[in-house]
Amino acid sequence: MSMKRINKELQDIGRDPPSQCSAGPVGDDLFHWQASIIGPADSPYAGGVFFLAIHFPTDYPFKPPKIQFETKIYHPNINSNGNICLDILKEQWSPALTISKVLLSICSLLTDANPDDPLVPEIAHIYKNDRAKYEATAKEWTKKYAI
Amino acid sequence: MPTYEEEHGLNSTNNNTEGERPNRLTVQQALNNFINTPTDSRNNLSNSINNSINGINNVDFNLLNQMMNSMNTILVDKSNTNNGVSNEFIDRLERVNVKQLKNDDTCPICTNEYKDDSYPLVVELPCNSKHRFDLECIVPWLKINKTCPLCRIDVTIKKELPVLVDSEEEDEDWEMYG
Repeated sequence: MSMKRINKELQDIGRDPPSQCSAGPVGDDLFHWQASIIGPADSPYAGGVFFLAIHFPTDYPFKPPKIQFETKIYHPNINSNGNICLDILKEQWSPALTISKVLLSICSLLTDANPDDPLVPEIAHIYKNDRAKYEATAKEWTKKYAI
Repeated sequence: MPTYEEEHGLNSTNNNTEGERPNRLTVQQALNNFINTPTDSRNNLSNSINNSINGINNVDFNLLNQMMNSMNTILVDKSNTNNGVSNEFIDRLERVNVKQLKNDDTCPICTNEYKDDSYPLVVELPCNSKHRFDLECIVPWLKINKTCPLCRIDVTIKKELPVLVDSEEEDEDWEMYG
């Protein structure tokens, strides 16, 4: 089941790729993909290209894929290991979700952070209290690590 | 006059052990905590249990570790089955007649067209008549979750009420004939 579904997603993503995103297997292993997201224009990540590692569990799609940023990013919901705090990757996962939909959710997380459920409390604090400083640092990191 | 320890051939290290005991959880307490703790935070407790085990002499640590691990597995399995629906629920799911299926209708889980299969077995969930899935795809999900993959509604809530009414009606019918 998981192999067939992952193959299907690969075909679908090739036929109708989500805007600003791409994804595909790293080597021969269908269960290990790499994805890239172009920083949304209306965010401090604009102009950057962010790489993510995707690992499918053997019981996919009944368990969520594991997705991590490989490119360093300054964001309240993404920590220094690249772990993403996003409900649909945890308890809100549904087998009707696809990598394409998840990548779109991550894109919108880049535009609209969720500082009330932070993975990095320090960044969330700055995001809430000094938005200009947050945007400046996020832009600086994008320039340094993602361009 | 010999002390109690001297008389019973005990060495004084036992005294030290006794002295340290009150600082540690007893194995019994630790196990109780372990059982009553959510899976995520069990690792910390495993450590505290190990600490309390270290305070006891003549214990086979490997055996105890094995016991802790298998207990963890059992508890996780149990909580997983508790999260899903019953087999009876799955048996009672509404079947969708093949004539109702359009050629390009797809199962949201495997994303294949139902009619790829010449004899598709499609069911709908009680939350919405449009929330249809291949039976084969929805069963593994419902065994670990009670929610609809499309709307996240708890599928057992709506379903169980009509079932009660049905059984009452059946009882009445029996009375009529009995």
